[in-house]
Amino acid sequence: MNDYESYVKLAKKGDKQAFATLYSLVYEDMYHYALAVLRTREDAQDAVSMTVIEAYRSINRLRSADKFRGWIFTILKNVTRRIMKKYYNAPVSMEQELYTMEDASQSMEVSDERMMLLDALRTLDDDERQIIAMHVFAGYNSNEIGQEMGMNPATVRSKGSRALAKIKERYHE
Amino acid sequence: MNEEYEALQKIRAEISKEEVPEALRPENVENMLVGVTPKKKWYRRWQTYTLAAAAAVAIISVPTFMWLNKPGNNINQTAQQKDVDNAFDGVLYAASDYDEVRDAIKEVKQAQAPSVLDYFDGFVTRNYVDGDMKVYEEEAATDGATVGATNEAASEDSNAATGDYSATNLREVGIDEGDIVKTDGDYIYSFNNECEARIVKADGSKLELKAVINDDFDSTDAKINDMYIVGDKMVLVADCFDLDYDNERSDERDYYVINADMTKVAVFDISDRKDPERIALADVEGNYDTSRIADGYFYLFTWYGGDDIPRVYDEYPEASDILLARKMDSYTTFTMTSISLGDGKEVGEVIDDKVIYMDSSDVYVASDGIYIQGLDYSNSRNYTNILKFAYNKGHFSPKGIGSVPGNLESSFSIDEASDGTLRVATTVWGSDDWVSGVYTFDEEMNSLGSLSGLARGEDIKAARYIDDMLYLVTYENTDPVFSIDLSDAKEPKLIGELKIPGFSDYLHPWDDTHLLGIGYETDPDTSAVKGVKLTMFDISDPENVKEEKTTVITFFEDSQYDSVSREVPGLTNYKAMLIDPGKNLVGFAVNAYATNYTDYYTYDDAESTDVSEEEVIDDYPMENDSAQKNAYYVFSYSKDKGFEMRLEQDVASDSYANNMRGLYISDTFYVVDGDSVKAYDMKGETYSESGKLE
Repeated sequence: MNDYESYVKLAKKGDKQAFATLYSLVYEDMYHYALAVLRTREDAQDAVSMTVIEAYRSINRLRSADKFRGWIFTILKNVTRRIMKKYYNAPVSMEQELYTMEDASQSMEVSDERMMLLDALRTLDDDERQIIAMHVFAGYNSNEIGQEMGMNPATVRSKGSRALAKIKERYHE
Repeated sequence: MNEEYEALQKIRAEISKEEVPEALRPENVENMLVGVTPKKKWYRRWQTYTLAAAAAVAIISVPTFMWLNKPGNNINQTAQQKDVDNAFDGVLYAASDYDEVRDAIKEVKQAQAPSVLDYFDGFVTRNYVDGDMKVYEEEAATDGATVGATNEAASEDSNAATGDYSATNLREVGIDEGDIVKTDGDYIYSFNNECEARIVKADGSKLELKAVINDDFDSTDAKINDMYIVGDKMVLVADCFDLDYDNERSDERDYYVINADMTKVAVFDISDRKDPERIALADVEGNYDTSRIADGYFYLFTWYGGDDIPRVYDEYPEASDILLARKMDSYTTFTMTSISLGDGKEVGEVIDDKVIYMDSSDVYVASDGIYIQGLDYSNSRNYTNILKFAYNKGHFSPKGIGSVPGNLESSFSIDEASDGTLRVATTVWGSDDWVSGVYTFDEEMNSLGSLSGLARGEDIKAARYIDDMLYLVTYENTDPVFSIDLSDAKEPKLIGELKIPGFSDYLHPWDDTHLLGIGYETDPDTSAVKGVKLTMFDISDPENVKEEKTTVITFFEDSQYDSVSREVPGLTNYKAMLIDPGKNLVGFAVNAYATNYTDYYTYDDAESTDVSEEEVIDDYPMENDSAQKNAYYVFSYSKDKGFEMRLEQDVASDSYANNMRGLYISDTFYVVDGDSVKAYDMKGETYSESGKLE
């Protein structure tokens, strides 16, 4: 993984291919993270592409190559938070948004299992969803999540298990 | 635990089945980045050894053996252990030596992983450092930890403080708290995200930048979190990330070995406002939680999740200052450190410290004690344990432990009465029964009385204790304001209940007979937030609380937008509120945003090659069909006219108003927003801008 370093160096010089190589290591997790915290595929896609632009633009702020993953996830987290701002009081329920016309047009098969899961995820509050998504897709532990979210790790842990309990409850309904 | 782990795996597995859109694939990155170029190199001042740093080194060599100064170590140590045992009922005990602590940590680690969230094996391949990974070279900085004065030849006019200026909105009168903006009546002090603190002379409309402090805290990466002004001293608290180097390769300094999260407290002598000088730099291993200044001493609260004992100034605290739980289920620690700010001792000297192995959720500091709240999830119903320490000139002494069912939902849920009685309001969270209660304790944390079964199905939104009365707001669809009489601590009594729509998130005493509530107006049917609501309650008869006047600010016509959000950052951070009944003003920032779903974010890269290097990330312009109002508001109140808007000041940059603060010095109001300061003449119906500094 030490190759990271040379790719970061090239990216800093403006090599977009090198940046793409770094991105290729994390983009799936990034998209799925965004999908887990946001409401629609469209928003998740927006979030990732905004993050890509922002990350590339400020690549010189990345000081150690091995931090690429955590660094780009931090940007992504900020971008998703910004998008979440516009969700307050939205009259449309989230499940509706996620699986409507879009699915029909893409003729995408969405399993019942995944429906249920996403549905359950969306009963969580923003913090809880962020915590779960950050752990599952960014690979953060509770201390790191605490740092990212400005929370005590103990709070992260308790919110995390509260969130999982809620999901479980929803699942067994 | 296993079940939780499986749930997490399932979430990952299922969501990962979602195909990533074509446009986001790595091969399309170049399309995404058309016209985008990396910004200029980020300059950060790298550690150099200036005089200030040398002074800090000198302080490090003074260890913190608080109890070594006393005669008879062994006897003292057992006495100390006894004190802990007596006060904390054996729930916590003082360690005998470091091995005991490390064994306890090991046991916890072996018995169970502290949380399912700490498993990540199998989920994500993390790119751990191989030990040989080079740290990127920083752009060479010319002058390290510089404290730069602006080069204006302004003479120092010594305007004695009149006392007619605002202070940070505190949780407890007389116990100072840090914030991003401070004033002492002559100067405005602030710091920004770029680790810069500023001193601005404020003389009415005349604003003059005196100094910019750009200190690196002798750290690889530092972020200032809090600031205090105590006379001629400025205290900055920073969360730092320190890289350490492998000594054997000291000729190649950029070999990275370990890293550590540190909280650092820098004290500056600002007697010459144009030329501040760092006189102390204390460091404690772990992340910053909060801090206070009381009796002239600095009290620092940090938490640490590493698997060894957190160090203070690079030294382990005395074993007897480490408190272990009899039933350890986590090795996260809560550390309290007291630091001298003078008072006959060297500034920066550590007076006392306590490392407590307990998950803490919040800390409340009153004049009689420090109350550390820790959630206990080990039972089916969760409890909150409250540890009390007395403190005196920096020394901590254990007082007692109490336990209440449920959670403290707000920082204002807990209160120490003038006679030392502690009152706590909680909500017990259950799947379909939420219920609130009030509990009282004596000075030793022995239970005195309780009132339970309040507001079934609702949770506490706001609480405020005024002498022996507790006003409690709970919320489901309407907003009951409960009046609870605590004059007999053994028997708290519910004496009044007022039901109104919407709810208050924050309550603040206005005068002897009035209580100000700030919150949101909601639709009783849908619970949708319809506006920011200011309410003046008449509490002259606590049994019969009345709504005297209410104003709702909507910002937008809801009907014109698909989605509207309105948020008052001060409702989750009371320090962002300015409430001054004497001056008759209520000031706070609002983030309001309205959009239609056709909107989307676009990236404007027109100037991307020529943007300032310190530009913040929040700079995406919105499409037209949305509106936002991120602004600072000031209101005044009169019984006849209700709330009247005096000032509406938009945020300086295209971002949220979270970091805006308002303050006044005699007849001038100031709005501080990052590095920008605006002055307003407070005379007249509405404030008029009279000066600015950007």
